[in-house]
Amino acid sequence: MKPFDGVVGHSGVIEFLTREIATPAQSYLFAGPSNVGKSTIARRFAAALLCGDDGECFRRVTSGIHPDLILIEPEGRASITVDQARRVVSQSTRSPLESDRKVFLFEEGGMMNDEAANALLKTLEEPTRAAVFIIVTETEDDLPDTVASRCRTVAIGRVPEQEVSDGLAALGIETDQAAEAARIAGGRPGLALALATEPQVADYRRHWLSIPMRLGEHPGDAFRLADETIAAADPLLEALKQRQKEERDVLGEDASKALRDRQARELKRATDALYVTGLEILASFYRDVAAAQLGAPIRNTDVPVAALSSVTPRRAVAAADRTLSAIGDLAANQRPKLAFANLFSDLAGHG
Amino acid sequence: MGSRSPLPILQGLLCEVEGGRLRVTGTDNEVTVRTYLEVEALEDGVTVIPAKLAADAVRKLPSGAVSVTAADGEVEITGNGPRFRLRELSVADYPKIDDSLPADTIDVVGETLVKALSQVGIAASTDDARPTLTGVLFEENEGGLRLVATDSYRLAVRDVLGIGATGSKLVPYRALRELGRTVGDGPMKVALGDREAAFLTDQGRLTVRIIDATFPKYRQLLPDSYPNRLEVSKQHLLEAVARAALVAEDHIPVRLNLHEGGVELSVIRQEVGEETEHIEGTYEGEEMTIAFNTRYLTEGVGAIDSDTVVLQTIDALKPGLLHGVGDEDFRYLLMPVRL
Repeated sequence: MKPFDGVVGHSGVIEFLTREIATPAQSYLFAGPSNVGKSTIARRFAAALLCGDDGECFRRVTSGIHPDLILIEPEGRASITVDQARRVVSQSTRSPLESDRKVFLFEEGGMMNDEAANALLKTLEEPTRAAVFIIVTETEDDLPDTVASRCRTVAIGRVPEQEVSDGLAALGIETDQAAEAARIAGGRPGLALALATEPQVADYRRHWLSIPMRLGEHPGDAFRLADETIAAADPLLEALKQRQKEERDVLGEDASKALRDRQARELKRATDALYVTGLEILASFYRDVAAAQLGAPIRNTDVPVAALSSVTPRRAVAAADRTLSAIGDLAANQRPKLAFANLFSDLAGHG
Repeated sequence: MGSRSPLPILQGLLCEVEGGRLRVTGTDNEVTVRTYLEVEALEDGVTVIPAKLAADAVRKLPSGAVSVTAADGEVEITGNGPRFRLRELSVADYPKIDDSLPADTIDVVGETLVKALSQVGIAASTDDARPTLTGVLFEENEGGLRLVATDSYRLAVRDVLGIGATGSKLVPYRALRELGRTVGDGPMKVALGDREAAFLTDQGRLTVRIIDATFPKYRQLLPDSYPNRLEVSKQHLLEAVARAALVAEDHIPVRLNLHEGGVELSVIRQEVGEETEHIEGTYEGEEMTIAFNTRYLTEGVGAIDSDTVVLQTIDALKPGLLHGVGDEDFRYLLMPVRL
């Protein structure tokens, strides 16, 4: 059994990690944007470290129930605390139960507060016989330098659209739908997979591309459009919500607060990724407007030609910039509806 | 069974019936307890039952035989009328626990080991940030077994004679506390492996994962001889420290003025008050004053298995040594508080 079978894209990373399995480092930092597959790769890597060829063992690791895989999750929606870090320090000195190693996996490592990170420093760098640490985060900047410098960094970036689309097709998804999902997902296989079964995927992209034509004279239009934008994302999250509900149902009343919290964070990440991807589509439209008028090739080939001359190249570039800046507003936790309304109002020239 | 464990499967007990014998396994990922029971088995089989609910259910059944049947994802527990049907947990998800034993085993009497562990255990730390100090060191000493624990404020050493041990292994004390309640009675085999320590009796087996870290070099803390020596009644000393502790609470030390004829205890707490008293005893050495944390002193004296205790000192800044009169199998070394 190949540990990374079925992972979409990331061939370089997979090649690297496959070489690492025999003699792993003490600590790894997996850094990359949300929904590109960091956790999937991390769990597969952990399984390879813990199980060898044992498929049953592999299944338990990837589903997070193997006793030698220790998942460290933020408590509630807040952060990974110093108490949790201390428990990790203590656990890391214990010998493994089934395997020859133990793997400590921080799937949302960026949520580690400074105090917790400091408590871990010594453990991250002083090799224990049997422990491997994997810290997953969106960017190295989410962690103190002292943590990052003690880890082998593995950059897990976005995946080319074609690879995502081919990967989805290989998983049995119909080619057109796979292409549509890949287009929307902006290089995030995780998101693409969640979207691939959603019939409204193409509508979502069309919605974002229609925005420039619908920017109105009245300030109220921006809010209506923002509402519509948020509503357009909802149906795409149905599959994820359904899967989460099934997860809870399997556990019945045992569905713990920790699971609910994790699902809430997962849903937020997927929602945020959808909004970001929408903003990127909108920005790429404005880029195309400038490109078309300057004679460069355009990306969104299905957009009506008339739309491409709606504003001057200079204004198009400014609009693309303004659109991308909304990604930062979302990252800074601005409410999406407000961020969108603001953006649409600015794009319409009210700002 | 892991009540605090994040893995739901660990809230189950693995029950295996084979040839008229039931084997029950529970683990919290650090400690694994496996017990055996002769049963009347109609059919061999394996299931994982929700531990707490099943145990409570059985406890509440009317007295008499209990029958347990696992089928179709349900476990049925009946006895004299009532019938519980509980959802079965996944056998495939349960950790695979190795049953093999390291070659070297030590034979001990369960009660002796449990008692010796409780003596040294008081000095073990409960602070997870310093995992090495949460363990009890099992090591060979002059042909016997030596148990050592320290939280860096005190150090407890217990020599168990007549037990041949080899090597040195660090075992989490938290897990060892369960030893008495689970498999503690009677003849016991102790196996100290590279990954785990196992304790076996005919009732079952407790396995705990050892701490993979180096224990502090403690031998250099135990000098060959002390210039000053106090002998005093254990009972009187405990009572006196308890009275002093009323004023001191946990953070003010109790002063011991050692002099010919005994010891004077005193505690002074700013803004609150003070307590002093004298205990008769025999003292050899220079008159001196040394101060200790009241709780650490109480715990150490309390663990001594003798009516008369000995306190040996060097000076006010070096650790004092407590042990029973004529009995140095258990020794308790206590750091003084600087005055």
